[in-house]
Amino acid sequence: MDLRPASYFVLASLLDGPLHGYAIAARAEDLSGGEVRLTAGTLYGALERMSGQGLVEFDREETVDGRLRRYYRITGAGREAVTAEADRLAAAARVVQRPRPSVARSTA
Amino acid sequence: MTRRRLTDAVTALAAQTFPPSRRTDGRVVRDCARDAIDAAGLRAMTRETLSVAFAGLRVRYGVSVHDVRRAPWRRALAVLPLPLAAALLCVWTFGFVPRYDHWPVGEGWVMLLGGSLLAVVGAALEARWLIFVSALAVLAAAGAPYVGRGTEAALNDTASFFPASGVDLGAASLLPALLLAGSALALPRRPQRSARRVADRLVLGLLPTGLALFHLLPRPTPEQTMIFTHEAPPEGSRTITDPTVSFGAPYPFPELQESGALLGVLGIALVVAAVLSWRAAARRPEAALATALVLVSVAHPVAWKLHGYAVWPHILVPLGAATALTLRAAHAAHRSSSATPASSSEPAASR
Repeated sequence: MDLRPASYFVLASLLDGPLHGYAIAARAEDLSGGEVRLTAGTLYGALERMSGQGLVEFDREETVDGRLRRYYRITGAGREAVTAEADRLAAAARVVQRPRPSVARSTA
Repeated sequence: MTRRRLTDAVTALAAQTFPPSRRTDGRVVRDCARDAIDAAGLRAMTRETLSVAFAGLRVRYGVSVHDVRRAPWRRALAVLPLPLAAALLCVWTFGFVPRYDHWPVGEGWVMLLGGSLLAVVGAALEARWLIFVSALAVLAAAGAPYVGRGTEAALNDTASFFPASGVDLGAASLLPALLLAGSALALPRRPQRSARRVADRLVLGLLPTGLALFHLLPRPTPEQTMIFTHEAPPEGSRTITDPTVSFGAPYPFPELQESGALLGVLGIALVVAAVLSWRAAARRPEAALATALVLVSVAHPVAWKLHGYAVWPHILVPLGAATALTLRAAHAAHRSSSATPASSSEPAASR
Protein backbone atom coordinates (compact mmCIF):
# COMPACT_ATOMS: atom_id res chain seq x y z
CA MET A 1 0.00 0.00 0.00
CA ASP A 2 1.51 3.32 -1.08
CA LEU A 3 1.19 5.95 1.64
CA ARG A 4 1.01 9.65 0.98
CA PRO A 5 3.55 11.69 2.94
CA ALA A 6 0.84 13.04 5.24
CA SER A 7 -0.49 9.56 6.00
CA TYR A 8 3.03 8.25 6.52
CA PHE A 9 3.85 10.86 9.13
CA VAL A 10 0.44 10.55 10.81
CA LEU A 11 1.03 6.82 11.22
CA ALA A 12 4.61 7.44 12.33
CA SER A 13 3.39 9.87 14.98
CA LEU A 14 1.15 7.17 16.44
CA LEU A 15 3.89 4.53 16.73
CA ASP A 16 4.67 5.55 20.31
CA GLY A 17 1.08 5.44 21.52
CA PRO A 18 -2.37 6.98 21.07
CA LEU A 19 -2.57 10.73 20.44
CA HIS A 20 -5.36 13.22 19.95
CA GLY A 21 -5.86 15.33 16.82
CA TYR A 22 -3.73 18.38 17.53
CA ALA A 23 -0.98 16.26 19.10
CA ILE A 24 -0.88 14.13 15.93
CA ALA A 25 -0.60 17.24 13.74
CA ALA A 26 2.17 18.70 15.92
CA ARG A 27 4.09 15.42 16.07
CA ALA A 28 3.77 14.86 12.30
CA GLU A 29 5.13 18.35 11.66
CA ASP A 30 7.98 17.72 14.06
CA LEU A 31 8.85 14.30 12.59
CA SER A 32 8.78 15.64 9.03
CA GLY A 33 11.00 18.58 9.88
CA GLY A 34 8.17 21.01 9.16
CA GLU A 35 7.41 19.50 5.75
CA VAL A 36 3.98 18.10 6.70
CA ARG A 37 1.69 20.72 8.19
CA LEU A 38 -1.81 19.42 8.71
CA THR A 39 -4.78 21.63 9.43
CA ALA A 40 -7.55 20.25 11.62
CA GLY A 41 -9.84 19.60 8.67
CA THR A 42 -7.18 17.88 6.59
CA LEU A 43 -6.13 15.74 9.53
CA TYR A 44 -9.73 14.75 10.17
CA GLY A 45 -10.16 13.67 6.54
CA ALA A 46 -6.90 11.70 6.65
CA LEU A 47 -7.81 9.95 9.90
CA GLU A 48 -11.26 9.10 8.59
CA ARG A 49 -9.77 7.65 5.41
CA MET A 50 -7.13 5.68 7.30
CA SER A 51 -9.76 4.45 9.72
CA GLY A 52 -11.73 3.13 6.76
CA GLN A 53 -8.58 1.35 5.56
CA GLY A 54 -8.07 -0.16 8.99
CA LEU A 55 -4.75 1.64 9.59
CA VAL A 56 -5.86 3.57 12.68
CA GLU A 57 -8.70 3.18 15.13
CA PHE A 58 -10.55 5.18 17.74
CA ASP A 59 -9.02 4.93 21.20
CA ARG A 60 -10.96 7.22 23.53
CA GLU A 61 -12.36 10.70 23.99
CA GLU A 62 -11.48 13.15 26.72
CA THR A 63 -12.60 16.65 27.51
CA VAL A 64 -9.73 18.90 28.55
CA ASP A 65 -10.37 22.55 29.42
CA GLY A 66 -13.78 22.23 27.82
CA ARG A 67 -12.29 20.94 24.57
CA LEU A 68 -13.21 17.54 23.25
CA ARG A 69 -10.18 15.47 22.27
CA ARG A 70 -10.44 12.23 20.38
CA TYR A 71 -7.51 9.87 20.64
CA TYR A 72 -6.47 7.49 17.90
CA ARG A 73 -4.14 4.52 17.96
CA ILE A 74 -2.35 2.72 15.18
CA THR A 75 -3.53 -0.79 14.25
CA GLY A 76 -1.42 -3.79 13.34
CA ALA A 77 -2.15 -3.14 9.68
CA GLY A 78 -1.13 0.49 10.12
CA ARG A 79 2.13 -0.51 11.78
CA GLU A 80 2.87 -2.92 8.93
CA ALA A 81 2.03 -0.31 6.32
CA VAL A 82 4.23 2.40 7.81
CA THR A 83 7.11 -0.06 8.35
CA ALA A 84 6.85 -1.32 4.77
CA GLU A 85 6.83 2.26 3.50
CA ALA A 86 9.89 3.10 5.63
CA ASP A 87 11.73 0.06 4.20
CA ARG A 88 10.77 1.09 0.68
CA LEU A 89 11.98 4.66 1.23
CA ALA A 90 15.20 3.40 2.82
CA ALA A 91 15.86 1.09 -0.13
CA ALA A 92 15.14 3.93 -2.54
CA ALA A 93 17.50 6.21 -0.60
CA ARG A 94 20.28 3.59 -0.67
CA VAL A 95 20.10 3.49 -4.46
CA VAL A 96 21.00 7.15 -4.59
CA GLN A 97 23.34 7.35 -1.62
CA ARG A 98 25.59 4.27 -2.28
CA PRO A 99 29.17 5.12 -3.14
CA ARG A 100 29.88 5.12 -6.86
CA PRO A 101 33.16 4.56 -8.71
CA SER A 102 34.27 7.70 -10.44
CA VAL A 103 33.35 7.67 -14.12
CA ALA A 104 36.19 8.46 -16.50
CA ARG A 105 35.04 10.73 -19.28
CA SER A 106 36.71 10.32 -22.60
CA THR A 107 37.30 13.33 -24.71
CA ALA A 108 37.10 13.22 -28.46
CA MET B 1 -9.71 37.16 25.92
CA THR B 2 -11.07 38.91 22.86
CA ARG B 3 -8.80 36.85 20.64
CA ARG B 4 -10.05 33.65 22.21
CA ARG B 5 -13.66 34.72 21.78
CA LEU B 6 -13.06 35.56 18.15
CA THR B 7 -11.43 32.17 17.59
CA ASP B 8 -14.29 30.39 19.34
CA ALA B 9 -16.89 32.29 17.33
CA VAL B 10 -15.43 31.73 13.87
CA THR B 11 -14.54 28.09 14.46
CA ALA B 12 -18.00 27.44 15.91
CA LEU B 13 -19.51 28.98 12.80
CA ALA B 14 -17.29 26.85 10.57
CA ALA B 15 -18.23 23.70 12.48
CA GLN B 16 -21.88 24.33 11.62
CA THR B 17 -21.11 22.89 8.18
CA PHE B 18 -21.03 19.43 9.76
CA PRO B 19 -24.38 17.64 9.40
CA PRO B 20 -26.43 17.23 12.60
CA SER B 21 -25.69 13.51 12.70
CA ARG B 22 -21.93 14.26 12.87
CA ARG B 23 -21.93 17.26 15.21
CA THR B 24 -19.60 15.49 17.62
CA ASP B 25 -17.07 15.06 14.82
CA GLY B 26 -17.49 18.75 14.12
CA ARG B 27 -16.77 19.57 17.75
CA VAL B 28 -13.64 17.41 17.77
CA VAL B 29 -12.31 19.04 14.58
CA ARG B 30 -13.20 22.51 15.83
CA ASP B 31 -11.44 21.95 19.16
CA CYS B 32 -8.41 20.62 17.31
CA ALA B 33 -8.42 23.81 15.23
CA ARG B 34 -8.68 25.92 18.40
CA ASP B 35 -5.64 24.14 19.83
CA ALA B 36 -3.75 24.85 16.60
CA ILE B 37 -4.74 28.53 16.63
CA ASP B 38 -3.71 28.84 20.28
CA ALA B 39 -0.32 27.38 19.40
CA ALA B 40 0.34 29.21 16.13
CA GLY B 41 -1.43 32.48 16.80
CA LEU B 42 -4.08 34.37 14.89
CA ARG B 43 -2.24 33.92 11.59
CA ALA B 44 -3.45 30.31 11.64
CA MET B 45 -7.08 31.28 12.18
CA THR B 46 -8.12 31.71 8.56
CA ARG B 47 -6.41 28.49 7.47
CA GLU B 48 -7.79 26.42 10.33
CA THR B 49 -11.28 27.87 10.11
CA LEU B 50 -11.49 27.18 6.39
CA SER B 51 -10.21 23.66 6.92
CA VAL B 52 -12.95 23.01 9.50
CA ALA B 53 -15.60 24.42 7.15
CA PHE B 54 -14.41 22.35 4.19
CA ALA B 55 -14.15 19.22 6.33
CA GLY B 56 -17.76 19.74 7.37
CA LEU B 57 -18.90 20.30 3.80
CA ARG B 58 -17.02 17.18 2.70
CA VAL B 59 -18.70 15.15 5.44
CA ARG B 60 -22.07 16.65 4.62
CA TYR B 61 -21.64 15.74 0.95
CA GLY B 62 -20.55 12.21 1.84
CA VAL B 63 -23.47 11.72 4.21
CA SER B 64 -25.91 13.05 1.60
CA VAL B 65 -24.58 10.79 -1.14
CA HIS B 66 -24.74 7.83 1.24
CA ASP B 67 -28.31 8.60 2.31
CA VAL B 68 -29.56 9.36 -1.21
CA ARG B 69 -28.10 6.11 -2.51
CA ARG B 70 -29.84 4.15 0.21
CA ALA B 71 -33.10 6.10 0.06
CA PRO B 72 -36.26 4.05 -0.56
CA TRP B 73 -36.37 4.80 -4.30
CA ARG B 74 -38.26 1.63 -5.13
CA ARG B 75 -41.01 2.46 -2.66
CA ALA B 76 -41.07 6.00 -4.06
CA LEU B 77 -41.53 4.72 -7.58
CA ALA B 78 -44.26 2.37 -6.41
CA VAL B 79 -46.47 5.25 -5.25
CA LEU B 80 -46.29 7.00 -8.62
CA PRO B 81 -48.31 4.92 -11.13
CA LEU B 82 -51.78 6.05 -10.10
CA PRO B 83 -51.15 9.84 -9.87
CA LEU B 84 -49.00 9.83 -13.00
CA ALA B 85 -51.45 7.79 -15.06
CA ALA B 86 -54.34 9.96 -13.83
CA ALA B 87 -52.45 13.14 -14.73
CA LEU B 88 -51.54 11.86 -18.19
CA LEU B 89 -55.12 10.84 -18.97
CA CYS B 90 -56.30 14.26 -17.82
CA VAL B 91 -53.68 16.03 -19.95
CA TRP B 92 -54.53 14.12 -23.10
CA THR B 93 -58.23 14.65 -22.50
CA PHE B 94 -57.55 18.37 -22.40
CA GLY B 95 -55.63 18.00 -25.62
CA PHE B 96 -58.22 15.94 -27.37
CA VAL B 97 -61.64 17.23 -26.48
CA PRO B 98 -61.51 20.92 -27.44
CA ARG B 99 -59.97 20.56 -30.87
CA TYR B 100 -60.35 17.14 -32.33
CA ASP B 101 -63.35 16.84 -34.56
CA HIS B 102 -62.88 14.23 -37.19
CA TRP B 103 -63.50 10.57 -37.06
CA PRO B 104 -62.39 7.86 -36.90
CA VAL B 105 -59.78 8.72 -34.35
CA GLY B 106 -56.28 8.08 -35.63
CA GLU B 107 -54.01 5.50 -34.07
CA GLY B 108 -51.97 8.23 -32.39
CA TRP B 109 -54.89 9.38 -30.32
CA VAL B 110 -55.98 5.82 -29.70
CA MET B 111 -52.55 5.19 -28.19
CA LEU B 112 -52.52 8.44 -26.22
CA LEU B 113 -56.02 8.21 -24.78
CA GLY B 114 -56.32 4.44 -24.69
CA GLY B 115 -52.84 4.04 -23.28
CA SER B 116 -53.50 6.60 -20.55
CA LEU B 117 -56.84 5.01 -19.70
CA LEU B 118 -55.33 1.54 -19.57
CA ALA B 119 -52.52 2.88 -17.41
CA VAL B 120 -55.11 4.18 -14.94
CA VAL B 121 -56.84 0.80 -14.95
CA GLY B 122 -53.48 -0.92 -14.54
CA ALA B 123 -52.56 1.39 -11.68
CA ALA B 124 -55.89 0.62 -9.98
CA LEU B 125 -55.20 -3.09 -10.38
CA GLU B 126 -51.49 -2.57 -9.60
CA ALA B 127 -50.80 -4.64 -12.70
CA ARG B 128 -47.19 -3.78 -13.54
CA TRP B 129 -47.05 -5.04 -17.12
CA LEU B 130 -50.35 -3.43 -18.09
CA ILE B 131 -49.06 -0.07 -16.81
CA PHE B 132 -45.66 -0.60 -18.42
CA VAL B 133 -47.02 -1.40 -21.89
CA SER B 134 -49.63 1.37 -21.69
CA ALA B 135 -47.02 3.91 -20.66
CA LEU B 136 -44.78 2.88 -23.55
CA ALA B 137 -47.72 3.28 -25.96
CA VAL B 138 -48.34 6.80 -24.64
CA LEU B 139 -44.64 7.58 -24.85
CA ALA B 140 -44.42 6.34 -28.45
CA ALA B 141 -47.48 8.27 -29.58
CA ALA B 142 -46.46 11.47 -27.79
CA GLY B 143 -42.92 11.27 -29.10
CA ALA B 144 -43.86 10.32 -32.66
CA PRO B 145 -44.35 13.88 -33.97
CA TYR B 146 -40.84 14.82 -32.91
CA VAL B 147 -39.39 12.23 -35.21
CA GLY B 148 -41.67 13.20 -38.09
CA ARG B 149 -44.17 10.41 -37.70
CA GLY B 150 -47.30 12.46 -37.06
CA THR B 151 -50.07 11.06 -34.97
CA GLU B 152 -51.93 9.02 -37.52
CA ALA B 153 -51.36 7.54 -40.93
CA ALA B 154 -52.90 10.48 -42.75
CA LEU B 155 -50.72 12.96 -40.95
CA ASN B 156 -47.34 11.42 -41.45
CA ASP B 157 -44.59 13.97 -41.94
CA THR B 158 -46.26 16.39 -39.57
CA ALA B 159 -43.23 17.71 -37.79
CA SER B 160 -45.09 18.53 -34.63
CA PHE B 161 -48.69 19.09 -33.81
CA PHE B 162 -47.89 21.17 -30.78
CA PRO B 163 -47.81 24.96 -30.88
CA ALA B 164 -44.33 26.25 -30.39
CA SER B 165 -45.13 29.35 -28.40
CA GLY B 166 -46.86 27.83 -25.41
CA VAL B 167 -46.15 24.90 -23.17
CA ASP B 168 -45.68 21.92 -25.43
CA LEU B 169 -47.85 19.32 -23.75
CA GLY B 170 -46.54 16.58 -25.98
CA ALA B 171 -42.94 17.20 -25.07
CA ALA B 172 -43.88 17.83 -21.45
CA SER B 173 -45.51 14.42 -21.22
CA LEU B 174 -42.53 12.43 -22.46
CA LEU B 175 -40.52 12.23 -19.24
CA PRO B 176 -43.57 11.63 -17.03
CA ALA B 177 -44.62 8.81 -19.38
CA LEU B 178 -41.14 7.34 -19.12
CA LEU B 179 -41.31 7.71 -15.34
CA LEU B 180 -44.68 5.95 -15.38
CA ALA B 181 -43.17 3.03 -17.27
CA GLY B 182 -40.28 2.83 -14.80
CA SER B 183 -42.54 3.13 -11.78
CA ALA B 184 -44.67 0.23 -13.03
CA LEU B 185 -41.70 -2.09 -12.63
CA ALA B 186 -41.31 -1.03 -9.00
CA LEU B 187 -44.74 -2.42 -8.12
CA PRO B 188 -44.88 -5.76 -6.30
CA ARG B 189 -45.18 -8.79 -8.55
CA ARG B 190 -48.10 -10.18 -6.59
CA PRO B 191 -50.08 -7.25 -5.20
CA GLN B 192 -52.68 -7.87 -2.55
CA ARG B 193 -55.79 -6.80 -4.39
CA SER B 194 -59.26 -6.40 -3.04
CA ALA B 195 -62.31 -5.33 -4.99
CA ARG B 196 -62.78 -2.35 -2.70
CA ARG B 197 -59.20 -1.20 -3.05
CA VAL B 198 -59.25 -1.54 -6.84
CA ALA B 199 -62.55 0.33 -7.05
CA ASP B 200 -61.28 3.12 -4.83
CA ARG B 201 -58.13 3.50 -6.84
CA LEU B 202 -60.03 3.44 -10.13
CA VAL B 203 -62.35 6.20 -8.97
CA LEU B 204 -59.38 8.19 -7.73
CA GLY B 205 -57.55 7.74 -11.04
CA LEU B 206 -60.54 8.73 -13.17
CA LEU B 207 -61.63 11.62 -10.99
CA PRO B 208 -59.32 14.26 -12.55
CA THR B 209 -60.45 13.34 -16.03
CA GLY B 210 -64.08 13.38 -14.94
CA LEU B 211 -63.60 16.89 -13.62
CA ALA B 212 -61.77 17.83 -16.82
CA LEU B 213 -64.69 16.61 -18.94
CA PHE B 214 -67.06 18.56 -16.72
CA HIS B 215 -64.95 21.65 -17.45
CA LEU B 216 -64.52 20.95 -21.17
CA LEU B 217 -68.01 19.83 -22.19
CA PRO B 218 -70.03 20.95 -23.96
CA ARG B 219 -67.25 22.25 -26.10
CA PRO B 220 -67.73 25.28 -28.36
CA THR B 221 -68.20 24.69 -32.03
CA PRO B 222 -64.76 24.37 -33.57
CA GLU B 223 -63.70 27.39 -35.57
CA GLN B 224 -63.91 26.98 -39.30
CA THR B 225 -60.71 27.05 -41.24
CA MET B 226 -60.17 30.18 -43.33
CA ILE B 227 -58.80 29.37 -46.76
CA PHE B 228 -57.00 32.07 -48.76
CA THR B 229 -56.76 31.22 -52.44
CA HIS B 230 -54.24 33.26 -54.42
CA GLU B 231 -54.82 33.21 -58.18
CA ALA B 232 -51.86 33.64 -60.50
CA PRO B 233 -51.98 36.95 -62.40
CA PRO B 234 -53.24 36.72 -66.00
CA GLU B 235 -50.65 36.19 -68.73
CA GLY B 236 -48.68 39.37 -69.36
CA SER B 237 -50.22 41.18 -66.40
CA ARG B 238 -48.33 42.34 -63.37
CA THR B 239 -51.45 43.00 -61.33
CA ILE B 240 -51.80 40.78 -58.32
CA THR B 241 -55.39 40.03 -57.46
CA ASP B 242 -56.66 39.85 -53.91
CA PRO B 243 -56.94 36.37 -52.48
CA THR B 244 -60.30 34.69 -52.38
CA VAL B 245 -61.41 33.86 -48.88
CA SER B 246 -63.49 30.78 -48.25
CA PHE B 247 -64.32 28.73 -45.20
CA GLY B 248 -63.57 25.05 -45.07
CA ALA B 249 -64.03 22.29 -42.58
CA PRO B 250 -62.67 22.86 -39.08
CA TYR B 251 -58.93 22.56 -38.77
CA PRO B 252 -58.30 18.85 -38.99
CA PHE B 253 -54.93 18.61 -37.36
CA PRO B 254 -54.80 17.47 -33.74
CA GLU B 255 -53.19 20.65 -32.54
CA LEU B 256 -52.93 21.01 -28.79
CA GLN B 257 -53.65 24.41 -27.38
CA GLU B 258 -52.11 25.57 -24.14
CA SER B 259 -54.79 25.43 -21.50
CA GLY B 260 -54.59 27.86 -18.62
CA ALA B 261 -57.04 25.77 -16.61
CA LEU B 262 -55.02 22.60 -17.08
CA LEU B 263 -51.68 24.21 -16.32
CA GLY B 264 -53.14 25.96 -13.30
CA VAL B 265 -54.52 22.74 -11.89
CA LEU B 266 -51.29 20.86 -12.57
CA GLY B 267 -49.26 23.65 -10.97
CA ILE B 268 -51.46 23.71 -7.87
CA ALA B 269 -51.28 19.93 -7.63
CA LEU B 270 -47.48 20.07 -7.82
CA VAL B 271 -47.22 22.75 -5.14
CA VAL B 272 -49.65 20.92 -2.85
CA ALA B 273 -47.78 17.64 -3.36
CA ALA B 274 -44.45 19.34 -2.66
CA VAL B 275 -45.68 21.02 0.53
CA LEU B 276 -47.51 17.99 1.90
CA SER B 277 -44.74 15.53 1.11
CA TRP B 278 -42.15 17.93 2.57
CA ARG B 279 -44.07 18.07 5.83
CA ALA B 280 -44.62 14.31 5.89
CA ALA B 281 -41.08 13.40 4.82
CA ALA B 282 -40.14 12.05 8.24
CA ARG B 283 -43.06 9.62 8.30
CA ARG B 284 -43.30 8.90 4.57
CA PRO B 285 -40.00 9.62 2.85
CA GLU B 286 -41.13 7.73 -0.23
CA ALA B 287 -43.81 10.36 -0.89
CA ALA B 288 -41.24 13.18 -0.85
CA LEU B 289 -38.94 11.19 -3.12
CA ALA B 290 -41.82 10.52 -5.50
CA THR B 291 -42.67 14.23 -5.63
CA ALA B 292 -39.01 14.98 -6.32
CA LEU B 293 -39.00 12.55 -9.24
CA VAL B 294 -42.11 14.16 -10.70
CA LEU B 295 -40.61 17.64 -10.25
CA VAL B 296 -37.52 16.59 -12.15
CA SER B 297 -39.59 15.04 -14.93
CA VAL B 298 -41.58 18.26 -15.45
CA ALA B 299 -38.82 20.74 -14.64
CA HIS B 300 -38.51 21.99 -18.20
CA PRO B 301 -42.20 22.83 -18.78
CA VAL B 302 -42.44 24.33 -15.30
CA ALA B 303 -39.48 26.59 -16.08
CA TRP B 304 -41.01 27.43 -19.45
CA LYS B 305 -44.25 28.39 -17.75
CA LEU B 306 -42.36 30.48 -15.19
CA HIS B 307 -40.55 32.56 -17.78
CA GLY B 308 -41.21 31.61 -21.37
CA TYR B 309 -38.09 30.91 -23.36
CA ALA B 310 -35.71 31.76 -20.51
CA VAL B 311 -35.70 28.23 -19.18
CA TRP B 312 -32.30 28.78 -17.59
CA PRO B 313 -32.01 29.75 -14.71
CA HIS B 314 -35.71 29.26 -13.90
CA ILE B 315 -35.32 25.51 -14.19
CA LEU B 316 -33.38 25.77 -10.92
CA VAL B 317 -36.69 26.37 -9.11
CA PRO B 318 -38.18 22.91 -9.72
CA LEU B 319 -34.79 21.21 -9.67
CA GLY B 320 -33.85 22.94 -6.40
CA ALA B 321 -37.16 21.94 -4.85
CA ALA B 322 -36.60 18.37 -6.03
CA THR B 323 -33.10 18.32 -4.53
CA ALA B 324 -34.32 19.71 -1.21
CA LEU B 325 -37.13 17.13 -1.06
CA THR B 326 -34.74 14.32 -1.94
CA LEU B 327 -32.21 15.27 0.73
CA ARG B 328 -34.87 15.71 3.39
CA ALA B 329 -36.48 12.38 2.58
CA ALA B 330 -33.17 10.54 2.28
CA HIS B 331 -31.93 11.79 5.64
CA ALA B 332 -35.29 10.98 7.24
CA ALA B 333 -35.25 7.48 5.78
CA HIS B 334 -31.71 6.94 7.03
CA ARG B 335 -32.64 8.10 10.52
CA SER B 336 -35.69 5.87 10.69
CA SER B 337 -33.88 2.84 9.29
CA SER B 338 -30.91 3.09 11.64
CA ALA B 339 -31.07 0.56 14.42
CA THR B 340 -29.36 3.07 16.71
CA PRO B 341 -29.69 6.81 16.45
CA ALA B 342 -27.26 8.43 14.04
CA SER B 343 -23.85 8.43 15.62
CA SER B 344 -23.63 11.81 17.21
CA SER B 345 -21.61 10.26 19.97
CA GLU B 346 -19.89 7.58 17.95
CA PRO B 347 -16.67 8.83 16.40
CA ALA B 348 -16.46 8.69 12.62
CA ALA B 349 -13.05 7.08 12.70
CA SER B 350 -14.30 4.21 14.81
CA ARG B 351 -16.87 3.17 12.24
